[in-house]
This record gives sequence, C-alpha cells and structure tokens, in this order.
Amino acid sequence: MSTRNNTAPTLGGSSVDHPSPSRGTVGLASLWFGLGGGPIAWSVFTIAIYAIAAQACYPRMVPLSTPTMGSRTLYVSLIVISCAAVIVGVAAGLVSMRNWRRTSGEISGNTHWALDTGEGRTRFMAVSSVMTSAVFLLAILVDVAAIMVVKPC
Amino acid sequence: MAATLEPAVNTSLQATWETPPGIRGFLTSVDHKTIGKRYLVTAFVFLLLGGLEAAAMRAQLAAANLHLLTPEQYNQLFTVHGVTMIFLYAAPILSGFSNYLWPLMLGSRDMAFPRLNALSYWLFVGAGLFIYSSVFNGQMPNAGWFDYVPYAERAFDPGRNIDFYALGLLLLGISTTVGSANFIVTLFKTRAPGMSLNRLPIIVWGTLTASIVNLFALPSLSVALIFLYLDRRYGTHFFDPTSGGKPLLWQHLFWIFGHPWVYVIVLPAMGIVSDALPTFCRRPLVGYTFVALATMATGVLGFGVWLHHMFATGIPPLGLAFFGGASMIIAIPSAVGVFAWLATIWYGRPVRTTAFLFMVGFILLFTIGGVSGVMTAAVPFDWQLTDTYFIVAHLHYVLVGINVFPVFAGFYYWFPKMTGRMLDERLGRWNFWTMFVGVNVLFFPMHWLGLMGMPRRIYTYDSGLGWSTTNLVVTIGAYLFAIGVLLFIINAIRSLKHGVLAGNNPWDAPTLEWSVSSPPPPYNFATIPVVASRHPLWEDRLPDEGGGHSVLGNGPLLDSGRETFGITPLDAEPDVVMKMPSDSIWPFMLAISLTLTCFGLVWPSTAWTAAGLLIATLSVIAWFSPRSGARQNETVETLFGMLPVDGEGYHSVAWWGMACVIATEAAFFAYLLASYAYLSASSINPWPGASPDLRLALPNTIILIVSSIVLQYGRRQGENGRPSRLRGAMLVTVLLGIVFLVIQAAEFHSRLATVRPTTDAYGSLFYTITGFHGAHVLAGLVMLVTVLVRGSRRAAHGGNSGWLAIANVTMYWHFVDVVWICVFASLYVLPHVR
Repeated sequence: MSTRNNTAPTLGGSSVDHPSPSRGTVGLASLWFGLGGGPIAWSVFTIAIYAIAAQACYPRMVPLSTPTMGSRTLYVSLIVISCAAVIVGVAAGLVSMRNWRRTSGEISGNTHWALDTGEGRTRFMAVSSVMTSAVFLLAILVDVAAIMVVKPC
Repeated sequence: MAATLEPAVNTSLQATWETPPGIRGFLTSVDHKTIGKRYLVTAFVFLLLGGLEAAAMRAQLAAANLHLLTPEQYNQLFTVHGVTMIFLYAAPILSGFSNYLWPLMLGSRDMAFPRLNALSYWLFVGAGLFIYSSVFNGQMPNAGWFDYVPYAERAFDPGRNIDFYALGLLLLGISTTVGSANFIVTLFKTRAPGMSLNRLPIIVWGTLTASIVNLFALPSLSVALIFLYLDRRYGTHFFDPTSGGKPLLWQHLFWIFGHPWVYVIVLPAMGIVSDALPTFCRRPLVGYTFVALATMATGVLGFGVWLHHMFATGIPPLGLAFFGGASMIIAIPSAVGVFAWLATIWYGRPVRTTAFLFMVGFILLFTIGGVSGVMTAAVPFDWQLTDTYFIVAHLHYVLVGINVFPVFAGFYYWFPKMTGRMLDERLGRWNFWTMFVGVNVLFFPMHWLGLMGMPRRIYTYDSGLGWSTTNLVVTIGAYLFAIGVLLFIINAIRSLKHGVLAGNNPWDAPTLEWSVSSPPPPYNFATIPVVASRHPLWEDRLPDEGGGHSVLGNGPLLDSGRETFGITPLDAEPDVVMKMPSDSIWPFMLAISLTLTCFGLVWPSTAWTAAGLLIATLSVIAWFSPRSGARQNETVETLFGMLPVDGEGYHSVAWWGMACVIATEAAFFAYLLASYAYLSASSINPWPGASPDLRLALPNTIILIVSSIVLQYGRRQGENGRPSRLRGAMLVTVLLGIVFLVIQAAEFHSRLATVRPTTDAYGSLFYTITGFHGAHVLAGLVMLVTVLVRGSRRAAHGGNSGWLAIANVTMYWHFVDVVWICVFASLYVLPHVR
C-alpha cells in the first residue's frame, strides 16, 4: 500500500505528484542504452550474419556446397560478430539491472510485485529494459547456437 | 473531483470545436471522433465486401469439380479478398478505434495533426475506391495478395490488374504513413499532464508499436511497388533475371514489409483486449509492464522473421536456422500476453458480457493460431506444408482470431461511448456463439486439408482426392460465421435507436474516455485532466497506485481558441500550449487529386496525371498557407507556469513530424540501397560494367556538404539574433542546391548515352536511386524557399516568427546530405574499390 509523500515534488502547480521522482537517480542515456542495446545488437547482428552466410553459400545464381571464403573463415567471422553482439546484449542487461536496483523504490507501493504495479516512469523504463535485454540476448544466443551446430551451406 | 463549469464556458468550447453540419462539415471535419467513426464504418464495409468474396469462393469449393466461377474469376476473388481484408479492413479498423480513442484516453482535445488525420482517412477511401474500381473493366488484381513476380510482371499479366494493385497500395501506403506519424507525435506530444509513459493504456502501446513499425516497414513495400510499376509500364529490369534483376528481390522486399504488417494488424487489437478485459474482471491487468514491453518487443522481433515466408526458395541452411530461431523466439512475447490475460481472468471477478466472451474467444483462437505459427517456424515442417491449406488455416486463425474477435469485443465495449446507447446483450451472445462456432468449423478443418495436401489457391479439385466432405464442412462454417456477422449488424442498427442509454461510464471502467459524456462533446474535455495514476477512475479502489489523485473536471481550461497542452515525451510535463488547426477542405482535395493521379497513371493518361498533380500542388500550397490569428512567439500563463504558444524546435509538434518523415524516408533509401547491394552481389556479370565517372559526382558531393555547413552556420546565427546572416546563408544554400541539381542533370545527360534505365537492372537502379534523391533535394529547396520568403515577409513587418521552421528544414537538408553520401559511396565509390 502506498502512502503519499507530502514532500514529493508535484507536477507544475497541480496537486498531482511528479510521475518520476527518481529521474535524477539514473541518466537518460543509461536508461535508453538498457532499453535499446539488446534490440539494436540483435538487429544488426541478424542482418550481418545472414548477409555473410547467404553470400558465402549462395553468391550468384547457384548454391555452393562449401562457403566461398572457406568454412573456417566464415565460422570465425560469424563468431567474432556474435561475440560483439553478446557483449552489447550482456552490457545492456547489466546496466538495466543496475538501473532497476536504483529505482526500485521510486514510488512506494508493491514494488516487489513486478507483475502488478510498476509505478514511477524511471522504474518502468528500467524494469522494461531488464526484460528487453533478456529476450534479445536469448535471441542472439539462439543464433549463436545455430552457428555452432548447423552446416553453413 | 469533478466540478461544474460555467455553462457559458461549455457553450464557448462547443462553438470553437464543433464541426458545421451538412456537406461542408462532412468534407472538412478534422474532429478525431468523426474521423475515427468514419474509419470504423468504412473498414467494416470493406470487411463485408471481403466476406462476400470469401462466400463466393467457399461456394465454388463446397464440392468437387464445381464451375460456379471461372479460374480467372477465382484468381481475382482470392486476390482482392486478401487485399481487402489485410489492407483495407484489418489495419484501418484499428486506426478507427485508435483515432476515436487516443485523444479521449490520453486526455487531449485532438490528435497532434488533425488535418493530417483527415488526409489519412480520405486517402484510405481513395485507395479503396481505386482498387475496387478495377471491377468495372473486369481487371481486378489477380496475382495473390503478395503478388509474386514473375506472375505479376507484364509479360505474364498484361492487363491493368496489377497496376491497380501497385498504385492502390502505394496510395494506401501514404495514408498509413501519415496516419502513423500522427499517432507517434500525438503520443509523445499531446498527452494529459502527468500521463507518463508508465501510465498509458495498452492499446496506445499497441498502436504506437504498429505506427513505428509502419514507418520502417512500409517503405519496403513502396520500393517493391515502385519497382513493379516501373518494370511493367516503363520496361525497367528490377525483377528480370535476364537483365541482372531477380524475382526473389520482390519476395525479400514484400516480406520485410509483410511480416511486420502482421503485427501492425494484431498488436492494437491485442491492446483492445488488454484494456477492456480488466474492466470486466474488476481488477487491473496482471503484468502491465510485461505486456507493454512484450508489445514493443514483438514489433522489433517482427522485423527479423521475414525469411520464414521464403523457406522454400533455396535459402542456405544457416539462414534458415537464424530465421527459424527468431520465428520461435517471437512466441515468447506473444505468450506473455496470453498468460497476462489468463491471470487477469483468474485473479479477477469476471463479468460475462458479450465483450468478455469475444475476448475469451480471442485468447483461444490466438493460442491455436500461435501454436500453428510456431509449427511452421520449424523449417522441415514448413517445407511440407508451404502453400497448402494448413497455411491458410494458420493465417486465418491469426487474423480472424487476433483481429476480428478483439474488434468485435471493442465494438461491444466502446459502442456505448461512441453512440450513447448500449448494444443488446442477448443478441450479442447469439452473435458471439455463431461467430465462434462458425470460425472454428470454417478454419480448423483446413489444417486437415493442408495435411492431406490440398494446395491453396486452386479454384476446384477432383472428387477422388478425399477433400470433398471436409470442404463442405468448411463452407458450412463460412456461412455460419457470416450469419454471426449479420447478427451484429442487426444489433448495431437496432441499438442505435432503441438501445439502453449508456451514461458516462456504463462498465465502471478505469480510463479517461469514460469520464466524459457518451457520446463525448466536440472538445472532449472541458478542462484538461491532470493524471496521477494508470487508472484515473479507479483511484479510490487502488490506493497503492499512482501519486495523488487525478484532477478531472476542474483542471486547466485552455479556451482561447482551439488549444491543448504539448508535453515532454517521457513525463508528460506541459512545455507548450498548442494552437490546433480548424476544419479544412484541403485534406479532402489533396486525397482526391492523388487518387485522380493514380487513375491517370493506370489508364495511362498524361492529362489526368498532370491535372491530378496540379490540383495536389495547389492543395498543398493552400493547406500550408499561414493561419490567421496564429500567436507564435507569445506565451500564456497556465497552471504549469508561463508556456510558449506552439513552441519551436524539439518542443513543437512540427519538429516531431519532421523527425517521423526523416525516419521513414531514411528507411526508403535504405531499402533502395539494399536492393542495389542485393542485385549487385548476385550479379553474374561485373556490376557496373564500367566504373562510374567521379569527375562530376565528387564535386557535387562537396557542394552538398558545403551547403549543409552553410545552413547550419546560418541557423546558429539566426538563433543568436542575426536574421540577416540566416537569410544570407539560406540564399547560398538554395544556390548550392540548384547547382547540385544542374550538375546531376548534366551527368544524367552524359550517362544516358551508355546506360539507360531500360538497359539492365543496374541502369534501372542507378537512375531510380539518384532520381529519388534528386527529388528530395528539390523538396528541400522548396521548403527552404518557403521559409525564406515567409521569414523575409514577416521580418519586413517587424516580426521574426517566419524563421521558426528553420530548425525543421535544416534537419531535413542534413538528412538529404547524409543520404547522398550513402548513395555516393554505394553507387560511385564502391565500384572503384571492388
């Protein structure tokens, strides 16, 4: 149960509390990196590995049985890109976790009940970015698994 | 919290915001509620048309070897059925709900760009009429709703069928793009004070996601349609494998658009359920943050699964694995929604109204459609079932289940708000059960037909294949479903006159639209609400939510003309007072003229095309002529301090609108350049044959970069109170832009001697890409000259408000420069370094 803090900053001259009292606790850049890092890493990663794999195995009009650049070179290229994507995805996740910890008590209430109430705009963005990072890191790892086990051509 | 206002205030607001009656009001209204209802009715009419086409097809397939339809008629029917349902019904009906509801839910007086809203609707009507006009010459689109080449190329489809398809969808694409930009800017700029991002209704998240997706996905379809039209009418070679083109380019471009579009037509519908279901469960949605985030995540992941529509086209194994994996991962955010709805029902106290039944029906159908979607994400399974009735069953479970059922739930839920009267619940239950049984009898057996090997799009089948009985059952289901829809129509017509009066909040719902009368007044809110929680009308029963109590009925008035607050995007703190435009005929005129242009192109008739473009140009000039009484540079005293009127730069809606234009244009050029890279990489012959000459292109690049630097300098000088230097910088920029175009024309002249647009795919792409860029330079020049003239005129009268748009125009000019640098690197430099 939340109790209204009488000293809380209000929205302009109204009687309504400001929706993000913790907005000074974490920077916007940090919040946006947490929210966007995973999706952007996954998007760039997916386009890059698909373009490289497709071009290596199907460069012109006829599919090849082995990659034009050689299996080893293709494999190393894809793994290097994968590592970069995983690093960005993990970094976004860690930053998001830190943001969530810092803003978990933004507006008092059922803050331990992530499923039910997520009051506070800053906290909302932080919780969202934790979930985003997890989903998109998983998506990256699924592709990494494919690189490990699937024959390229 | 509500307080009674002086009747004179309501009368004054009514007079300010009301649309005049009669034909004038009909054609000029920019009221979001009027436009929303028009969208709903028009899209519903298209649903009925699409349904009639389906009924004709099911009659043809009810038994083996029937000949009610000829093969060509069947081809046209299944194509137009798909086009109608996917483009003219499924997305526009959701735009209808969002148009009607957004300002009411967000606590605003209208959308950010009311005239753009009207344009979006009239273009939608124009596109629909244009596509359907093809019936009069018996040449309706006939190559399937995804219109694969080479079937759709002129050599195999010489009539005007595909031209109607290509131009109609281009027109509809403009409508959807401007509508999407409007939704995005409305969300970020015109919410009620206090409605921070974590307090948005879920339908708003759904439509926001769909709108962002549209900005980045629709240009892919536009590029494909332009290529197709040019191939068919002017002999270019984008899809012609004998001249360096590739049919698979169409499939890539179409599905990069097509799969995200699936989410465009389901996410807002899922939002309807997320917002309406809690009302009938008497508790907030379980996992709001998860559902909001899952909505956005689905939109992003939707861009990474297009290839699963092309599993059978010879993709290398790793490519199949990447996209198969992504197609399975996307089930996670979808499942989040299902579990959240089930938990909301489980923990709530459900009231079993008709709307509730439609929502429960939706959850069941979504689960079935979702599971068959995951099945087809498995590559071997997809190979077996691609182009069979299993796919038809899957896509209809998804589209009917996740779009039609939530839409009907939405009708039962918001009909009282829109009309002031309740729909009949008894007839509603008949309506639901008939549709629910009908849809399952119709589509579930199609899985079986697919597994038995029945291909999609065959106009008849032989009696010995064992498909006859199942097909008869499917047809019975189709007609049962149609009876259900008919019951709804009867219910709606009866309830409009005889329904029980609704009152403000008949469902005891929590969101802002239910705080005003049913139907709402033209100005929506007499005073702008100040929002303290996610459920402003349930604050007394949810004491652990929000910060204070929402101020409803006695908030800020804003009654000096058409006004509403502009806010900061994240926390909804008012930062400007927006002056909203009045009703206007020009959106209608612009839509009519663009439709006329399309007719001119399809016939083809140069006179009609020119007339259409001329009227369109005049309409744009009239639309953007300065508003009388605009009070730029003024400030207003409000509850939130002194606020500027309209504002400039980042604070103005125009800046946000320009940002949306740039985003979608950037995507457009990205798809053009990706097409170039794709065809170049798969070309057997060296591409281009000879490396491009840099002697003209390099200086031209330098000219454009210098122009950007000069304009940026001028803008800074203008901000520092030196308008004469700004004017000088703009003049230099205009001159440099003209020099750029002249040099490019000279380069075209010299290149045409060796490579023409019809020589090969390289020529087609080179002239298309550089030509479109040149058109953007021209558009930038027009904007610069407009601001220059307007600024100079106002400066002559002692004001400097004419320069306010320079921030937006500068942003656009920089964008045009960046695009050219990418074009220069791809088309001119890379061939030298290969």
